[in-house]
Amino acid sequence: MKEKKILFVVVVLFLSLTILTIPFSAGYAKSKNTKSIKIGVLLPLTGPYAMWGKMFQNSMELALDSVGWKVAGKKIELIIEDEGGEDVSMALEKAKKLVEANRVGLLLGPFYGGSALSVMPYTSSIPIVNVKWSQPGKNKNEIGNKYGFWVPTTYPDNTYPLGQYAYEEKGIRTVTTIGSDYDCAYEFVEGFTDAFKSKGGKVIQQQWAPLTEIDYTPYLSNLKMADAMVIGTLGPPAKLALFSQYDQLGLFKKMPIFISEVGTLPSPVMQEMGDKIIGVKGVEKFLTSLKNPEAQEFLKSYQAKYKSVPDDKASDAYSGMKVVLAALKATGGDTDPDTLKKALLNVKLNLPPGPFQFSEGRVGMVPLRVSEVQRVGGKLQWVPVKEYPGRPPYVETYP
Amino acid sequence: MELIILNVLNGVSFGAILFLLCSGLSLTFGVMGILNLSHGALYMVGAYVGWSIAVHQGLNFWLAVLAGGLVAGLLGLIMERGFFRHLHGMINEQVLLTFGFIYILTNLCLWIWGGVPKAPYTAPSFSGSFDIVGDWTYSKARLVVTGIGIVLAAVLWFFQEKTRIGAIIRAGMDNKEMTIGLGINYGLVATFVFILGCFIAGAAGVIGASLFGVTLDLGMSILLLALVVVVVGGKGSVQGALVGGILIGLIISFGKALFPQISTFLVYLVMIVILLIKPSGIMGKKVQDR
Amino acid sequence: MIELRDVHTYYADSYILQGISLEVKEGSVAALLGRNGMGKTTTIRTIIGFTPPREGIIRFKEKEIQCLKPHKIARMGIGLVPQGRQIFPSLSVYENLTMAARDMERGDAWNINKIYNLFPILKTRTRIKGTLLSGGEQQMLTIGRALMTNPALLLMDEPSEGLAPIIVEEIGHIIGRLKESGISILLVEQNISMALDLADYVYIISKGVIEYESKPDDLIKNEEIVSNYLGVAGNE
Ligand SMILES: Nc1ncnc2c1ncn2[C@@H]1O[C@H](COP(=O)(O)OP(=O)(O)OP(=O)(O)O)[C@@H](O)[C@H]1O
Ligand SMILES: [Mg+2]
Repeated sequence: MKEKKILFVVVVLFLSLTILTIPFSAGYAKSKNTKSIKIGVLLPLTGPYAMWGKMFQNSMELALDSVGWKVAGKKIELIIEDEGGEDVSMALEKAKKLVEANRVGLLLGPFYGGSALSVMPYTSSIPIVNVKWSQPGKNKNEIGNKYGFWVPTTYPDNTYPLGQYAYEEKGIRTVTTIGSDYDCAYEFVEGFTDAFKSKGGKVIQQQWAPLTEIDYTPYLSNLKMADAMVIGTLGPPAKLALFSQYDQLGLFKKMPIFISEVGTLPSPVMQEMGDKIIGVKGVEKFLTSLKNPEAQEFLKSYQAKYKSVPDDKASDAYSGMKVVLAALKATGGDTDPDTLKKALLNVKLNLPPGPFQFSEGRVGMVPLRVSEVQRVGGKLQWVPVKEYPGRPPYVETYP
Repeated sequence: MELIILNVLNGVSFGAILFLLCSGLSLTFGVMGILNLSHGALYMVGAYVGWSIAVHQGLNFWLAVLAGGLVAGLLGLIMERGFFRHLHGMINEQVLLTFGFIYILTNLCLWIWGGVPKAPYTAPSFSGSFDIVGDWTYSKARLVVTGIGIVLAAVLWFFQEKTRIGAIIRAGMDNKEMTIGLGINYGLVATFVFILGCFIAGAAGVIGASLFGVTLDLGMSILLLALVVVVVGGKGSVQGALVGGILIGLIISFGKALFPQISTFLVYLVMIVILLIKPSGIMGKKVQDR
Repeated sequence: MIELRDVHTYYADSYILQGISLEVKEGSVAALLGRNGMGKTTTIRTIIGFTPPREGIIRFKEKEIQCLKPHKIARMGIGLVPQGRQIFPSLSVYENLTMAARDMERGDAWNINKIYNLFPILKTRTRIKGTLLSGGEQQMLTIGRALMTNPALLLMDEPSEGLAPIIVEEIGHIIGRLKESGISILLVEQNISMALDLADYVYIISKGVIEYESKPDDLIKNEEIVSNYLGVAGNE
């Protein structure tokens, strides 16, 4: 009996802890006006990506603030649903609810790639605007939704300029690559190497580490010496571990490093790493050091409202909502899928990363900046060193 | 040749970390019959606490090791006295509970230390590298970790094989009821061992952090390897954790060098082969339930 | 020394001890006899607390102990020599003895040297693992281990089981010496002649009930009881 009681206490403890750690799992609606335009959003408000989910929500609401939650005279109703962590079926359920029960005119999200792959075919009757690249690798050709849009560039297109830069500006002729063993990392590395090889560079070694890898020393021990190392590993933890081991082996001086996304080495993590990473190069659309008015406005209003600094991913979410608003304005609030699709394809806007428009394959085109870690004003920061204008994907896969 | 030496060094030092982690896990499993799935999470907590001491406060690295161990030991005390003691023989409940502790501890860490991972940290004298073979250099921190692993293995071996309390612990693993029937408060002994195991996990976290840093998913990601080591080495023995740790460390290291495509798979293959040949693990003992 | 009063013990739902009452007087040997499966070991397990009674009172040194945890009961001064010896296989002979050591302050207390004097053969085997000993040596080790706890009462469960006659005789001598040293003993046996030689008082258990009790001499005369409850001495 005593055990039963204790078990009960444990269960209650668990439940309360779970409730404490899951803030708002249920979706909520902003208003009930029937004349409004309904926009559905799927975001990870719980689970491992909850941090991103909140940031995305902030950015989207910020974009709505700038038009007073109104477009073409109609109120905008934002219906946000939690897609969970990596819960593909939950995301699909929520998408069904948004489409069938809430009758939204268009969807933004979801965040998690796997969820996007399951939601996209289902929502094939309404436009779905992805604020993340969600079709890497072998899924490229299985889009299943002629209304699917991607605000950010594809992964290989993100790193393509970096490969050009390494060859043309830095005189790199040979590289060794290391990346996580999964689709996204393949694409990031592929963009670099495609550009690099097209110029005449040579890839002498490619290593792939399991996603959960924490010990990179064996890969570094087996490294072939090249002019540079390219890292397609995602996520700050892996980078921290890899860089630290790179440093312990004294390799920073021997082989400069190119990384796929600046965003995987955010400011707090850079400060963690210290001066050894000065000179590491990466590429990204949006950087906090950009001076164009759109970037400045986004940065300032975000910091004023949320007291934190937005990153490239937040800028994608903000841009995504801005693009949607522009298209809705063009249709006069009409959410007929084909009308909206046409309007989206015609959107031309200045966004925080620069001039934006969709390619024919419905992938966003914005300028990309090759950047370098430097110490500016006492802090390690990404400083743009060369800008590459936006262009269609180098392999256009979306007819 | 150079590559062989490097891979052996890599394997042994990674094995040392695995040993540090698994010695506690294996002991508590052997003594209490509880497979503490949150052992990896205690490792993570230790690593975070160590970061607060060594990096945030800028204090001595060994103090950080001690603090990491103490905090993990304290958490172990709370877990054991507050929960496991009341779930005697309820295997499912215990496993669920230890699994739940992973989430609780991870969320606590998120709350206290935030989501940004911490870079590897170590004592200033251990950072950097020196030349070993040819123009190849090797990290000092890794050698230090290996050294600590060897020292701890020796200390634990002495404790378990050469002291009276060690004999009591082994007696309890052989036959718990008989041990109690001789007037030994085995519950207390088990609590002590559990706390010791948690202490080692926490300290190991700080030592491991000098190579790998700390992240929130460490508790989960390191758990799997730890379980493999315990299965391979055999539960309840220091020698088993050492042999298992080094063996898995070497397999991973050479696997990455020679067969990168199947290196992860190789670890499980070895585990299965050993389970088939010797189900109780290389150094395992048969543990009686009574 | 110890007294059981109307003790009822169950293994889950099976009702094994159905009201046992018996007593071991200070400094004496009481024998508990009976065929296989009658509840002898269960009686021992009930006393030491491994399977506590559901009803009844067990009094040791004038204190009720039936609600105590086994290690507390043992620490009050009860030494266990279990059936099947239960030597710890991972421990050396030396460790098997010293892990149990307790209450060594008294001048006449047992310690490792005294055990080695009592069983010189063990001294020559001190480093090897306990389970590598012969059956007789293992029995000595078990007795030595129990003595290391300096008990006032020994619970001995079939110490002669599976041993050659000559070894049984030796064990009988040892038990006799222990009795002379003042230790009280509850001796469970199937070897009737050895038990009757040593015991001051005899109980016969059958199906969880004490069916007969008397001085050993009276039992020897009572052939009906012997054949009904004990059958052929040794085993069945
Ligand atoms: N763990 C158990 N669960 C259920 N029943 C048990 C258990 N242990 C023993 N028994 C049963 O209790 C009864 C008494 O067993 P016990 O071991 O006390 O007999 P015993 O007199 O010591 O016999 P032996 O001379 O063979 O040692 C037997 O019928 C046995 O089958
Ligand atoms: Mg018996």
